[in-house]
Formats: sequence, structure tokens, C-alpha cells
Amino acid sequence: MFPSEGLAILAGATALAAAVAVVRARQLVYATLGLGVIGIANSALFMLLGYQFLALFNIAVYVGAVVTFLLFTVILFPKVPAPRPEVTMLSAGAAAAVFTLIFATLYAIYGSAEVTPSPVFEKYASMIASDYWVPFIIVTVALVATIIEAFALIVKYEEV
Amino acid sequence: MEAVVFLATAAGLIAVGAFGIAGSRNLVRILISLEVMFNGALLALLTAARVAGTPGYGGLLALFSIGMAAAEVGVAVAIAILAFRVFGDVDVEKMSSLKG
Repeated sequence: MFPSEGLAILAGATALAAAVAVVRARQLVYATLGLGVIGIANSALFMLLGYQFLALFNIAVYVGAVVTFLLFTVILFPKVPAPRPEVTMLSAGAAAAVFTLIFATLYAIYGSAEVTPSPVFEKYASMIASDYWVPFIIVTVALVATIIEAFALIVKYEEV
Repeated sequence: MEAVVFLATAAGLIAVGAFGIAGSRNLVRILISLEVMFNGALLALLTAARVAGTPGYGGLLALFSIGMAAAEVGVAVAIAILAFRVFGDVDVEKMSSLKG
């Protein structure tokens, strides 16, 4: 077994264990922290796939901004009951069926291929500027709208 | 290194996220489970792009996806806050109408 394959198995097991912890956590704060662990484990898997820049981007934006934002929301949110989902035969069977369906589909198409952790040297900035500036504008507008919506919530709260 | 490790992890994350969404009644817990599914889908996308020989385009799509996920989380949290103001709770079972 190559070291990179062992690292991939370790990162994958960490991500799956954190996902189970997220779903089964009694407190939403611990569920959000588990989401951060999933983000970091995912970044390790991105590195092993060769996406070094994307791994760092994931940590900076997703874990550093999105998960932190969720964490503050959970902390500042009023205490309401948040019962964790119960594990029943039906729910466990449905999750197993979803896993089998998705894994079988992905494996049928891509499973037999080899992945080499060679880095991806595509120039994202020039690709965005030349061919993908429309999606970039859409994402920018969506993020600006989120900021405006946050201000609107604050103003409405003060009026109340 | 075979791609099966990445694909199994992605499928597992999607399945666990789906279990969390289906079994939860709290809107914030549903949102967190949705983000678990997003992570699985992102990993599947990047693995497929790597195997298919188009890693640049897959990485670019993942960049935009992470940006849109950030905007989506902001909108979902705002909906949860407004739902709490209107209904006094974030239990989805009690949100049976759009009044307010």
C-alpha cells in the first residue's frame, strides 16, 4: 500500500466518522464542529487528488467562513429543542440504499481508474477572466445579496 | 491509488447527510446535514474530474460551488431566524403555512 493510499483511507475514515458524529450529536455546537472536521478531512482528500489550491481554498472559505458563521449562529440562536435523528431500521436501510446506489453508480463509471496525486497547474484566474466571468459575476452577486440580507435582518430586528 | 477510496467516502458522506436530513425536525440541524451532503458531492465531483482527465474544469466548478454554498448558508440561516421570529420555533413540523 502506498503512503498516499493510506493517507486517503485515513482522511476518508475521518470524514465519515465526523459525518456520523455530526448527525448523532446531541448539541448543535458539536455538530457544527464536526462539520469543520469534515471540511478539513475533505481538504486532505483534495490534496491527495492533486488540487492543492482548492484544498487551501476549502479550508479558508468553507471551514474558515461558512462553518464559523454556522457556529456563531448556533451559539447565538435561542435554545430550542434539537433532537437528534433516531436510528431505526427504516432510516438505516434508506441510508444504506442511498450509499449503495450512489457508490455503485460512481464505481461503474470511475471506479476502476487510477488516481495519481499529481498537482493541477491550471490557471484558475485566467480561466475565470477569459471564459467563466459570467458564473463569477453570479457568485459575486449572490454573496453580495447575502450581505445585504444580513443588514436587512439587523435593521428589521432594531425596528421590532 | 485507486479512485474507489474517494468515491466510497463521497457516497458515505451523501448517505449520512441524507439520513440526517430525513430524520431531523430542527431546521438548523437539517441545514448542517445538507452541508455534509454538499461535501460528499464536492468530493465526487473532483474525483470524477480527475479520472475523466479534466481536472482544471472540475476545480473551477468546485470553486464556484464553494462560493455558492457560502451564499446558500447565509440565506438558510436568515430563513431560520425569520422562521423563529414568526413561529417561535424552528421545528419544521410546525411550519405548515406561509402566513406572517
